[in-house]
Amino acid sequence: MIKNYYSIVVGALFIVLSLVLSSCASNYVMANGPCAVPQTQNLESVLASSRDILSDQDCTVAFDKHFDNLLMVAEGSPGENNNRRFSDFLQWSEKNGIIGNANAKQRYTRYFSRTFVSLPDEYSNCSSACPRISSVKSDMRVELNQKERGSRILSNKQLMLDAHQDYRKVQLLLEATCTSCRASAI
Amino acid sequence: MKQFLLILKQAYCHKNTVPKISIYTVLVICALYQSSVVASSQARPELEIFSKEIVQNIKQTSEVAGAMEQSLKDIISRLEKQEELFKAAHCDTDGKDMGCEQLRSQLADSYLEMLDLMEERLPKIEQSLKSTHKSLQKRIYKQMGKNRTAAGLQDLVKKSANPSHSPTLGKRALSKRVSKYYALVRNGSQGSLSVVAAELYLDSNEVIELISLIREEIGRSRLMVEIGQTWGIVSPEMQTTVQGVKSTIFGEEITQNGQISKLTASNHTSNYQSPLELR
Repeated sequence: MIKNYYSIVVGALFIVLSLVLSSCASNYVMANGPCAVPQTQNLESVLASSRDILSDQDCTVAFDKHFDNLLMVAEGSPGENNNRRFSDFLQWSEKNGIIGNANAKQRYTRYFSRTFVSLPDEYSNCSSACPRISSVKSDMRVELNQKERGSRILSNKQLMLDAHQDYRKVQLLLEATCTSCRASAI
Repeated sequence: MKQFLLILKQAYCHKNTVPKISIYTVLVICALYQSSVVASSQARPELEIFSKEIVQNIKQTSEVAGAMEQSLKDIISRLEKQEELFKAAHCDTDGKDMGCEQLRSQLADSYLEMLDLMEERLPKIEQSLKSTHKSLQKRIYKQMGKNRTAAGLQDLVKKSANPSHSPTLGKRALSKRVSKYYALVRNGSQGSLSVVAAELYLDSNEVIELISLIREEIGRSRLMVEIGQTWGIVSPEMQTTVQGVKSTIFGEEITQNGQISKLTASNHTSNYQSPLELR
């Protein structure tokens, strides 16, 4: 009986503590909180401010919001050197332990390269990609939208054209491959 | 490598017959084997989708389809002239005299001639396409389905030395469609060949289905015409079928200018290469 009572108390304490911590985190990220994204529209200033803010250990949870804000601001001031700015920012984030190396690479490639990182690279197509072809296709579509955004940020239409061409070709190859997998399984 | 494995097997399974091999030799052999396995997994085998047989089949299909189209063209243009005459003489609304009867009969004869020609030529095209489709299916399954990942397919696309070739937009005449594939296969590089193979595989499936539908329709249409001749009626279905044949066999050069094709490429191509970029 005492043991049960003890476990209930510990459980309740745990729930209260998590609620307090999560409210703290959201307060930090909130518009007026110490981790809030900078309000300026100047890309260089936003990059510098975001670095300052994210240097605070308590603000690393706000990385996604800062990254999204950077993309938004960059769309407002497109330029061919923006990929270098994003690359530097992501490398800085990786160096400071805010995100991992794979995460940094994936983020950069999703927006500024024609390579689709959402494509599965494990096991064969018949056993891995084809059974979940609709989700593979929709992931690719999401990434294509990200590349379109990246191309706007860089003011580089060629990136968009290349990405669209690769997208269509890979979709065609996947469709043919999965049709052959289905037909061969019968 | 098989020889190495054979020596190993002999050395350890039949110790009495072969001189002893030291453990170091075994380790060296294992290391060599391991490195060769790693190397072979890194250098993926190139695609070998288009065998001589497939290429021959494609060529043959293109020729047969071309010959059929040429013959059909003459019949269809004759049919169209007869139809114009039929309408001009108001036979379609109020034509019960001998002249209209004669025109009606000529029209039906031409129509039957078209059906006969298609009935005679289509099985050859169908067979040739089926054979191409089957061979492609086997190879695509083995080389792209079983031996590659989705990211591996993307590598093939990147290898493409023919960036201008993108999947077909719109319909084309059957022979043009097939001869386009033939030309691409003949001149294609590894990367673009995979795209051509995928396109041809899916397209041939669609065409095979269409041909089988047309063949089913031929029997039905023939019956309709024969009944029509008996009762003196020119079925409006005849006109529809002719239109159907024209669009299916001859295709229509539809160019779908997508949003992207309207965009002009910017000159601002950044040369910056991030160390973060995955390739």
